[in-house]
Amino acid sequence: MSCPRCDGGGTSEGAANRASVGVEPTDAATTWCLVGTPNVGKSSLINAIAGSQLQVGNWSGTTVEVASATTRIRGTRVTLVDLPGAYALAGTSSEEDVVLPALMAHPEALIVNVVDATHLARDLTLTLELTELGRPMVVALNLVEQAAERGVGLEPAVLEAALGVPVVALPDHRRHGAGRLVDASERARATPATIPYPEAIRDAAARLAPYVASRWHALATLSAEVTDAPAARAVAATERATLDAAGIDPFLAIAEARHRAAVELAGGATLERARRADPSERVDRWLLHPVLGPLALVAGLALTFHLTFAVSTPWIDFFGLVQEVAAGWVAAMTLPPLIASFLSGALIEGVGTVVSFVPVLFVLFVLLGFLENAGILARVAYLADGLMRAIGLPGRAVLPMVLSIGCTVPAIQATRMLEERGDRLRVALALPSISCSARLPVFVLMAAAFVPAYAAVVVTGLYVLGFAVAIASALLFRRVLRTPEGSGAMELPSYRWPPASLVLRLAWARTRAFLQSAGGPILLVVSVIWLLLEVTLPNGTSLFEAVARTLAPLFAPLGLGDWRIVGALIPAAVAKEVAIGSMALTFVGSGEATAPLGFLAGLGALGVGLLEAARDTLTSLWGFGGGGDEVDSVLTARLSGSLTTAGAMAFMVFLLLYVPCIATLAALRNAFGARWMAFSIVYQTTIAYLLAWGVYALWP
Amino acid sequence: MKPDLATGDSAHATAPATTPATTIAMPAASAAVQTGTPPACAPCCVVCPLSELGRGGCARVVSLAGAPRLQRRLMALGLRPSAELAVLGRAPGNGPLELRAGTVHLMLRACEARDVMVEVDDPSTLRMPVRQAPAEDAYVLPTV
Repeated sequence: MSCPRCDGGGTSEGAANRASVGVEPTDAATTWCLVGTPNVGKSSLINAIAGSQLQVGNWSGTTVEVASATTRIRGTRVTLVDLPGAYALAGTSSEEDVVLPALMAHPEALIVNVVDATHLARDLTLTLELTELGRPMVVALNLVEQAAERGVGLEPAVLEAALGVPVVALPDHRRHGAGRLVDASERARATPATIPYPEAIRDAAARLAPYVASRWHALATLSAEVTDAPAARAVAATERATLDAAGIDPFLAIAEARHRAAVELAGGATLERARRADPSERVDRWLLHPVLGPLALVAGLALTFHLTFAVSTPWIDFFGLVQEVAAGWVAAMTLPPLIASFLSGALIEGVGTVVSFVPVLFVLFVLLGFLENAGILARVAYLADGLMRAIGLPGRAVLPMVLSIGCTVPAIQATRMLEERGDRLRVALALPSISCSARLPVFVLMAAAFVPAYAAVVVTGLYVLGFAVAIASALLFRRVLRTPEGSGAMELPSYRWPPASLVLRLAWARTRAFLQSAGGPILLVVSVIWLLLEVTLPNGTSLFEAVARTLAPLFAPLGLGDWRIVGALIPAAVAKEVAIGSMALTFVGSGEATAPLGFLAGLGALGVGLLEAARDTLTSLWGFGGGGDEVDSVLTARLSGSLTTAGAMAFMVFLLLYVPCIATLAALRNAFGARWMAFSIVYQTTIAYLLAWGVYALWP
Repeated sequence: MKPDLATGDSAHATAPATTPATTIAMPAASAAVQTGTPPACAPCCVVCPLSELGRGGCARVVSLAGAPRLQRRLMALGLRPSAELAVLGRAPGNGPLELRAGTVHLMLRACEARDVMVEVDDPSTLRMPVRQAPAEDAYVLPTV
């Protein structure tokens, strides 16, 4: 729903993201739709014109991310919409499929066609298609300097004369380019290009014209690329039959004519000096080397993982401290006990949980934005594709898989770099099975308590099991869902240093979009769990205990008949490591009671915490700090009293696989809608139950 | 996947370093007439799927097959009939091919490359020697 002026397509996915973007249209408002091939620098342009207003959200009814920004240009409110990169108007991936409907949804919008000067002939094919829509448009030539470096000089004036629409060259100093673009937008014209199509094609298109919106639509209907106009379909079928009889393949003929026209246009507007090769290819001889390449990939993935979690950890700790201090202040105030409990147990706890994802997501989005815009992600896809295809996933899925060892939430956010929705969904549904760092403390505690001699083996085994289930799920979903798979035909764009402001603004916009859509659900679940613990039934037990006792018989076949064990699984839905705290409370009778800090002491602690976080961020760049968790000996002793070893194994397997934590669910809902979130809950819980039961039954 | 082509290394190992460029010079007219290829084709050319090309191979696209969506994508990326391309590399583990077609630097999965028929001027750049071709019908060899 990034498109601020679009209300259409109210599907569940769209509805889920409605909250993420909202810009009200005003009177003197206009929209510019940025269209161009992938990696052409559309987002850099939008950043240069109105970067501080950058917002991201899903296009209505889809999972395709669209960035937009609204700014005031010479007294008019202009909304810039950055449409996904596309090589042609008739899409070849679920991202590209968004472009044409988006353009048709804004009939009044100005089309700003951003063209890559280093691939002029190819990009002009899209330009020619766009002119055939018969809409006012402007062509912006980007990467002119890079083209000059490679020995290709350009003459925008010649191109403008030939095309009949304004053409501006954007210099690398993009601020000036924006001004030129604004000047050109005032001269914007609709001039359908004259493309020498074969006579028969032109006649057939003319006969189709009354049924469709533009010449482009007539040609696309003729070549069966677009089939959404029912009236035109019958006419197109007869026209196709006539052409077939004449031995003309309309698709090939149209594509060929456009290509020739584009090559001619490009040739006319290009002053070719000695053409030099792209320097990126020289780098790729090392980075894509059959032996060095995979090594570089492993090193790069490890570095990405390290940076994502090491840089964000001090800040997560700092926000934890803020939460503690705030709870202390609430405790110090003289409030009715119920309100105080709600404030610290539900509100501060819930907001703290939401906020704790900000550092990790922001760091991840900075890294992703860099990798994407620098052209590195395409190389990751190239190197990992062979291996990942073996488990039914595209090469780019390697990054979410690796990230999910740390935390599933950023991993699910990272799936948006997969081009095809089907691939994205498959990967996102498989990810929750991979053990994240929140599950590790529980495994360590339980393994140390029940199989101290084999603790390492058991914990490793759980990680292997998680990966195995994830891979099996991915293969299963490929079979069952039958969603189209993304193509492996992808450009390896030139390496480029993306502007820092773009990467940071995009990361912040993406983080904000997650908070807006995930904050509510997380708060709700935390409040419900607080309510369960808070409400005391007439017979003296808490509601939490009653619910856990009711559920316990269900888990008896898994060897988990004790209500305290089952109970630990309920609050663990917020974050799985909470299971330990819950068991500590029910088995030992006391949580980790820390003395609340006073107002001044709290402020002091915050200041020290802030400094520590800043220092740890710097030190974390070259090494992991921090030690392991201490194992609570009283708790382990009591646990072994009420669980058998087989039951403990079943508990760990169940905790590994059951309902993804609430933040993961919110991320799934954000990306795919409530239905797939519900599916994930049912799917994971079923798998968890069956496997835990199997482990309990088979444990010697 | 044909078993003979499964691993890159063995295929490379079996490819002999024979057939230097000079030995494939043949009367120009015959090849062009009999294979029905455009006259631009070198005297002797082999038509085979792009997936058969090894690193360093150069070829010209003859035709595209497969799903229409993929065909459109390939055309848009510059793999259109009569376009020249070069194989810059192949990723390990039967991974994708790294190609240059015109000004475009791109990757293409081996399974998708099977849908692209190309004509190769220098058969020594094929991963499998032509004589040991697993499927006879995959090649159109000009008869002299």
